[in-house]
Amino acid sequence: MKITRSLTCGLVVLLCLLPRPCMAQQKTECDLLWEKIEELEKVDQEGMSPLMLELHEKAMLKQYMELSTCLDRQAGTDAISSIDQRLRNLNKQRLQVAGRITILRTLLGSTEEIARVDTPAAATARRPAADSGQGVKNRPPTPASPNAVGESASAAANVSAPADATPAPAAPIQACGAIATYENPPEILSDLATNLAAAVINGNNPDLAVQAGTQMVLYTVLDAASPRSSQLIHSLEAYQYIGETARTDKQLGSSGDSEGAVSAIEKPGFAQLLGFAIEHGGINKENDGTNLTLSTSLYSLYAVGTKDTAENYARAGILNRVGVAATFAVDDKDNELANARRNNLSQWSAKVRLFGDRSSRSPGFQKIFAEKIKPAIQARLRSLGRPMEALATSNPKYNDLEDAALNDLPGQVKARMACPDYVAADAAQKQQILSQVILGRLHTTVYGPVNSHTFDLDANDLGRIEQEFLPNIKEALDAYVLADSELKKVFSDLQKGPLLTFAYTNHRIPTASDYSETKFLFEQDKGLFAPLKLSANIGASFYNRPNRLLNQQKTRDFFAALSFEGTSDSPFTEAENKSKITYSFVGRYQRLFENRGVRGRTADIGTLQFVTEVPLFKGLSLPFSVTYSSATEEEKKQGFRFNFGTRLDMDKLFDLLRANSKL
Amino acid sequence: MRKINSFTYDVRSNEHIVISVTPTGFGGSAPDVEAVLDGEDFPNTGTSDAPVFEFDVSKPVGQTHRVLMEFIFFADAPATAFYQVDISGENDEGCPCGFIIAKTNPVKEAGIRFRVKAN
Repeated sequence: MKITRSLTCGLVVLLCLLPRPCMAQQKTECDLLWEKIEELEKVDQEGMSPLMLELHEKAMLKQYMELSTCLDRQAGTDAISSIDQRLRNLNKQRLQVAGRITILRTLLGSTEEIARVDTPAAATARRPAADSGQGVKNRPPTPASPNAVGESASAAANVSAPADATPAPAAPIQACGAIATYENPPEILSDLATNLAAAVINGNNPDLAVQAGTQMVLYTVLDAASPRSSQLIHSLEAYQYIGETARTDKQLGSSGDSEGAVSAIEKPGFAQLLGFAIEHGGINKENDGTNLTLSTSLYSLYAVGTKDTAENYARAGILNRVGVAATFAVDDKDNELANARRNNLSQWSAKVRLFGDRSSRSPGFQKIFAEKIKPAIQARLRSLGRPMEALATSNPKYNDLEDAALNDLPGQVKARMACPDYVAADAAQKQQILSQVILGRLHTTVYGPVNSHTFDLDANDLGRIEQEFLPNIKEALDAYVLADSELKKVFSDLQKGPLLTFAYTNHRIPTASDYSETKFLFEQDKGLFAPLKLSANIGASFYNRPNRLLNQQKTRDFFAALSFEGTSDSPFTEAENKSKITYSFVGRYQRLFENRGVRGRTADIGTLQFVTEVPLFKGLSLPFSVTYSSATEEEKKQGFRFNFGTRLDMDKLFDLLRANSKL
Repeated sequence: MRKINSFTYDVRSNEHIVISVTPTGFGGSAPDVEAVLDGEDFPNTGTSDAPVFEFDVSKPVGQTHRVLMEFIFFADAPATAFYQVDISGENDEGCPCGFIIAKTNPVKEAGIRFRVKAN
């Protein structure tokens, strides 16, 4: 049976590989090819030997490539007849076929170019409308098609040509494959082009290819102007924008004494609450398996009704300082939001920031930013703007140079994004393809004319480029990098400043009396006990309806807690993972008034606790605590308690998944 | 003003151009935008929470005004923060005009060209 199936497969493959005696009419030919491909697609590959499988894939590739040629030819014929609908269908089919060819080539490890099966007619039909200059280095120039716009035959012609027309809409299919290349571009330019390519992909917006177009044109002119200027611009390193670091805030947990809480002390945690709640559309949720905590700020609720603009934030005033949270006991693990009902409500709380501001809006941060950082940002922009202005003033053709490079670039990028090889490429390959398109365009329209003196820079311009413009850019960039490093330090210090919050928590106890807790939460990272971070809680709680039978009075308890927290590097994490081991020592004293005079209980309860959290790999860490208590609220019995668990940081896991998907 | 693409516009002599920026989704983080016009500092006539940059086209026909901008995202800005930039002139064609710079955009600078054309 298996032999028969293999033989049948072999026969089909052999028939397909045989040269055909004659060519039918165009339409029939394409249809026949489709039929043959369908037959091949139907062949059961399960019983094939590796050799037969390879033969089968080769046969498929051959048929698809012939079909590609056939469709190209037909598209060309139909284009002349202006049958738009038909042309669109053919283009769609061509995309599908090209996609299959790419897959089959990949399977076979083939590096054959599609151009090998292109007939002259097909090549003409596939020539781009928005840019036909893609092979300037790799192909001899060819006359552009009537609707072509761009740098096809001569870049110099473009420089002198007026370019004030709105770019023509790009044709759906472009010549794909070889493009003009920019050999050894300066790092500062290639980095910008690569990042713009990423921006185009992320935003699915080809216009972003020219977002920093004027800057790229300037870098290219400086690279092409003279060997000295080229050397100088190659010495400039790519830079990171001011303030670009990961976010520092984390999730807001329930209060320190809720069920499942590992630590006996509560952090002010206000900054976290604000940012996170806004980011998640008003309400943040956290489920630690035992408790579901929903938190928000009054501002984020206000922003839901208006718009979360910086102007509204500033207008919201006191609402920025108030956060609220509700914690529910989790008994439905499958539908976590189903736990958010009155019966499961174990506590709700409100926090008001009284003192301290760790955000970039704090006056202290703003003062340093205005004095030290802002001037560096402006200086860098000036160091780029002034050469553009000077070069455009001394040689008005500089404006044409920019037009030639930038006006049609979005169209060219858009066209490239429609190419089958781009569609089939992964994220990194797409970024590389678009980066090459951007750099190739700059090379053709700017580097070439400047380097060949079609665009002429006089001796004065050259002198200023070498003696003034490039040294100024370097100086401004150096200052910019220093400012960025200073900003990071200032921001880090900001996170260590004092923070005082008042918190109100309403505890709902189904089997006992509900009570309200008020407390002040204080935190300071940079102070007397540095490098240890100091946290302190002090407060009292009150019964809403004291039960005299249980010896309860209005005041439930008084408590105070003090914590010292430190960090150290983790030997368990990956090299790029900066997560640290955290540890803290916590002391807590509570005077529980209802225990006074009750046999077997004590009013004074002391607790000492050691808490640590060890990060293992990105997104996963192990929290652990050991607690010694002189007694519990229920009995006068001293003892140790151990808590152990795992914590998943969804932000980090998401980052990891996103990074992997880019590979 | 006539839009060529999001970063290139044709303008007329003496036309008043307004670039207004709306920082959105910043929460408690401060926004900041810096700009230069034709190589010189371009002052913000709005507020830091709603920056506005405006100028009158003063160059002769055939020349270009260039505005370079940098958009700051501090470390406490949420990942969803973005700046919406709206550009307007007189008798605008092809608009709404402008662009968005999101925190996720790896390029935080922009170069906008205003080419002066004959009336």
